[in-house]
Amino acid sequence: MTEQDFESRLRSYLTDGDAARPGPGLERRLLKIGAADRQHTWRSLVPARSWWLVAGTAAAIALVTFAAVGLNAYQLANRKGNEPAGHATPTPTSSPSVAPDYGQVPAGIDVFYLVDPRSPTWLQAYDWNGHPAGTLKLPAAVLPSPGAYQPPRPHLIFSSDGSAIWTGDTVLDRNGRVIGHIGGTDQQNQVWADDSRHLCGTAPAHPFDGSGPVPELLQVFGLDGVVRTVTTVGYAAGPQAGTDVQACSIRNSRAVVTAGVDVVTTDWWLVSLVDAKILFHRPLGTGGPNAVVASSDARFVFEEPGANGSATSGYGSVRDTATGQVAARMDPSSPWVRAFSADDTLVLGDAGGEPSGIQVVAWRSSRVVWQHQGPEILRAFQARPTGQDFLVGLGQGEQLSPPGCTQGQPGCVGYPGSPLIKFVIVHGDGSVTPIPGKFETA
Amino acid sequence: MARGVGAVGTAEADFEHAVLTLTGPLFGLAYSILRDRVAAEDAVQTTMEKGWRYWHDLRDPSRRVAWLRRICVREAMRTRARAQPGQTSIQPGDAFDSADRDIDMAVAFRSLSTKQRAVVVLHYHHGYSLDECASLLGCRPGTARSHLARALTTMRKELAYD
Repeated sequence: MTEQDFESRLRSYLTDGDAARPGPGLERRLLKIGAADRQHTWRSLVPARSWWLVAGTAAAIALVTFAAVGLNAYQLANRKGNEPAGHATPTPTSSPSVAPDYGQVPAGIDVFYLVDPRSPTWLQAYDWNGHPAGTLKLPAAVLPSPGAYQPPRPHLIFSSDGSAIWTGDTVLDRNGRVIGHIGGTDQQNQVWADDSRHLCGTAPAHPFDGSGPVPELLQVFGLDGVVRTVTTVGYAAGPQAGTDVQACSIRNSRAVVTAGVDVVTTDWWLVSLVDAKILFHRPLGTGGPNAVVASSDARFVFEEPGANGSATSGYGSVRDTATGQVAARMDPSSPWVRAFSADDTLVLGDAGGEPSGIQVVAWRSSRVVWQHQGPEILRAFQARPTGQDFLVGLGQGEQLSPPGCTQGQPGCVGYPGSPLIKFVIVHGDGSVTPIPGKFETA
Repeated sequence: MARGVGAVGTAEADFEHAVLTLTGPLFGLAYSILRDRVAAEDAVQTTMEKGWRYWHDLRDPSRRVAWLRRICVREAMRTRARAQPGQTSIQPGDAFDSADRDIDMAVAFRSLSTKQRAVVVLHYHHGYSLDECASLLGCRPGTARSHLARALTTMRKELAYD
């Protein structure tokens, strides 16, 4: 059985679920919400669960048919070449079936990686001027089944300057050579530190034994295999509750760690990596933000609004981690922050998968530095490791079939847009450098 | 021309339009994570209740669809967490029914944590990039990437692909 078998089997299993339809009573109950609110009684609506017995399947055959059409379109869009790695030429090529080979990726410059769908086992390195910098042909050992595993490859974690790639075991340099080992670790909670030479993560202090929550250890992993436990911070309580490292700054000797129950962030801490002191702790409670985004140097934290799970109300705020004080409060109409620039002056945000509102904003003044104009949605992003630049990936959102139908209309089915993304580098002055071509995320 | 969810209109009319157009897609999203019709209906109902609660606060109506989608994903995850830890609330007709024709895959999928399930579904089925998955789940992109990696490892092991 191959990786392709596995992926197609997984997709098939998930697609089978499309046949499920809500019971006919659901829509009626939902329509009562707005109406009942006028009478201040919506809270007394009958719970959905009690309607189960009267709920029948009202699926129309046409919907299934269109779902199949949509899936086929998606699968066609996902079909890629299957070129073997090693088709190397010393100079860039422009073969219609093979991606250009730009040679070795030079040391000493910051790069990011994109995948040309013509050669899905290669990573194309670009510098932050938008120029091709080299081609990394992934070693066969890194690919579960060479040529078959489609991007993005979740087992590859890239450092922000592109100089190191963690495979979950070994660390590769920008030309695929092994430069370190980080073994015996739990990949789930680990991130690159800002020096590209360490990973930081959290792990339970001991295995779960059913006696209750387990303290979490903040650890720093070196490329030489040495693991340093910094301190205990927060608790893990099974798969739904635990801690995550949001930022790990070796340069600034600080890390931001969050604790969450399911998708609600309940606490965040600023931890000194030097003396293991908890420099600041902000308890948020179970009605806390849904997400906390930290700057890479751990100096600022954006707290998403949304008490009790709503992402729609209130004000997002940026806090200075040194004092815990609010440095700026963001208007509800501001974008949802996804990343800080390396110099902490700008944030990149969007409207959560909608074309409107993809912005780079000077968060202290709310000045919009750049705003995307076009139908694409934000599909990928990365902050340059120095300065103010952002790599912004713009792609197609959900598509509707048949063309021209509106969402929710009988027979109208949504399916994923093309995985191909166009990338632009947004500079701190609002100017933009486009990268020619369309790519997939690495 | 059909009126969009974000179009100008009375709040009630806009909300009614949202219910009529988005109930199906939101149910599909919740069901794909939960694989449980009743739980998915619960998630959609709670989503719309929360959506209505803040309906008037939204300064940019064009974001409503994205907001509701985001709430729905998170509500689906909460719904599962409220059920028996580590399990879905399996109902007759839901467990391994026609939507679970590949029983081995169903067992492997149901063995995943909620976040792992959500990333698998959002990425492989709904076509979201990992950055988009991270935004929907409220985690950093690297965490979404790790959840997916661990989910695939678990499922491959469960299905003896390793």
